[in-house]
Amino acid sequence: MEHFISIQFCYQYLVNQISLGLLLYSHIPTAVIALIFGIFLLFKNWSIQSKTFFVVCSAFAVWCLLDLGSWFAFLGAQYTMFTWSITDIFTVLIFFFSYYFLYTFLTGKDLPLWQKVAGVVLFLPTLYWTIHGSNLTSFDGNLCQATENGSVTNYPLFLEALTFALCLGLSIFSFFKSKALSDKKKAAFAGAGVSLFVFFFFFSLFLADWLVSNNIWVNAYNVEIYGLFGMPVLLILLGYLIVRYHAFNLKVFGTQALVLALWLVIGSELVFVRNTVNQVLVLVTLGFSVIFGYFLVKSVRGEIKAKEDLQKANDRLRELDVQKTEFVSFATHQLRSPLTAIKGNTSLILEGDAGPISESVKNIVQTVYISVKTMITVVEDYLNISRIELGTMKYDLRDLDFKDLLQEVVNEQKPNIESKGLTYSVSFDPNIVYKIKADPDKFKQVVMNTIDNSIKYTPSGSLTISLEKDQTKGAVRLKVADTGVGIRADVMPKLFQKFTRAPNASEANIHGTGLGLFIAKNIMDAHGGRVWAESAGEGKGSQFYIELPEAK
Amino acid sequence: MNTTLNRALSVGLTVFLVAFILFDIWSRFSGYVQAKDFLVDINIPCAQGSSCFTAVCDPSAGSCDTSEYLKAELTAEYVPQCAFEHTCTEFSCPAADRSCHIISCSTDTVQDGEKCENAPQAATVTK
Repeated sequence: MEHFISIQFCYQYLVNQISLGLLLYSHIPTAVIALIFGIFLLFKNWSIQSKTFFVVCSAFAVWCLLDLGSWFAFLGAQYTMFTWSITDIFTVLIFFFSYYFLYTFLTGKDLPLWQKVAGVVLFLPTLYWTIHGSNLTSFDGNLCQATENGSVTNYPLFLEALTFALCLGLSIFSFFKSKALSDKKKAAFAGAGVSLFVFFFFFSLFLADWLVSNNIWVNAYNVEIYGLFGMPVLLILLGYLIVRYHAFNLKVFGTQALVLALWLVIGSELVFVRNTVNQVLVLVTLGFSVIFGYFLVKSVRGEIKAKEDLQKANDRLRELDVQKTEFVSFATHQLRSPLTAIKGNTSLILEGDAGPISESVKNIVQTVYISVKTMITVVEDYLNISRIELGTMKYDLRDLDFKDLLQEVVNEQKPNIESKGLTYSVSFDPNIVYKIKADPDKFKQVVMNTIDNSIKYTPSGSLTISLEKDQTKGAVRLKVADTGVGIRADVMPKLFQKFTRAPNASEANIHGTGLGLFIAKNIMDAHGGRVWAESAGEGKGSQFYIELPEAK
Repeated sequence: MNTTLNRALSVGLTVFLVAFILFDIWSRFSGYVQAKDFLVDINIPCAQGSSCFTAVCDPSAGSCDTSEYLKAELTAEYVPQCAFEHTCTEFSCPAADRSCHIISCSTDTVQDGEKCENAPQAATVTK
């Protein structure tokens, strides 16, 4: 250091005024990190955002060097005057390109030409005054610093304040304009990062100028170094955006960012460590962290690759599932028409519309009729499933009286109940209107499926069907209680899932697809109601509930 | 506006800006570093019989430098090393420096935190 000291007085003045270590640490690592970040982005992503950010980082790095030159008057007054005089150019550049970067980052577009022209026009006075050296009046040999021409240097401060206001305004505007949550977060993080960076910078410069020009504190330029800490804040927030949201289209993961930060922190210690032993120790630590960091990043990268492959396979499976559902929908549509024709014609034969038939033929046609009816139900179930999965199920909600619909279903199910030798009871108040808002066909299917389910799983005994109003909840509830096979506790959570059947259903010769309750649940969810079941256990019967809000 | 024209104008603006900045840097480098054509304000030792400046000391502020001094403003090129180091025993303006002048203490030149010793009524600026 001694070799570079040209004015011993200024060196002594500097070290009495501020810690040389703090001065170097606040300028050099910050400038180097910013520059590395800017170059890294530029190489990884050649876009307008990266280019403008690279200009911000480069101007910032140059500014840091010039500012150090301004502090180091002991190198010679001429160097301080030179670096101090051109600092304003880079300050304005940093501010202007910070806004430029924020604009391109948030909008994804280049800055409009008129704004570029306006920026250059506003910049011209600063450039003009610098050529003439009008921004500095003299060098103060007693304070080892340049004396600024306040009337000229206030202009860059005005530009900086203006840019800060623009950055803040743009950030707030973009935040409220963004619709997606991720875009809002991007606007918030990038806006906060850039706005805080320019604010720290502007405020420290303004405060230092104000304190000096009002003779409040001759060493007020010390506060300028704190303005530099806005840059790490900006870099951290941008780093977060890259890791979390792949900003700049970069796929950098958290481990890479942390390892890089660790290297930079350890490397930056070299700036102020003076002792050779300490320098060697820092270098060894840096070497180890580079080696271990490399292997750590490589290992995490492998895991991420495997995860991405799995994600791709998962996406492909989802695609195939949609295709399968579409195929089922198409196939069942094609099946339904001929089945309906078979059902209609067999019905005509059985009713004698096609002329008299013998008893043996009647029995055969009766079997065909029952089978085709079952088949139509299965096809309808598959069609409903595919509509639910494709999200194409349409609901035509109307005001209904639940008791009328229940009566209709019970009448339709009566032959099935009686054919199994079951007894049943239905209870509701005939004088009350159980008003609900539902799609008549779909809701009827839910009630039908529920009662049908109870009939199927009740080999002997009875069904108790009751309809009631829950005044406290403002809901209408149907309860179907049976004395059937009951539901085991381990089956209960899967009861309303696709293809779920009672474990003993096949043994008990109970026919069904296992889709009825799944369809019922989906239809009830779409109606804003719910369906659920309760059972004391296997062999102890079960209770099914259907609940809908009462319509006003 | 047409994209090509817009792009051409943007490039033009960038070239203009870069050229202007480089010219600025060259201008200040040649002016300040090479020619040293800037003024230096510096305190010099008090000459016999001159009205000199001295600091107004705050008794509660501890130590205070009460030495007397004059102020000089001269072109950097002609500033002797002893002036920068504040070690000159006597100082006179270099003959080649037309801008050089020594400022004595007076009611016109005294600033906050300073007072005059043997001050005349009017400002004294000597070449």
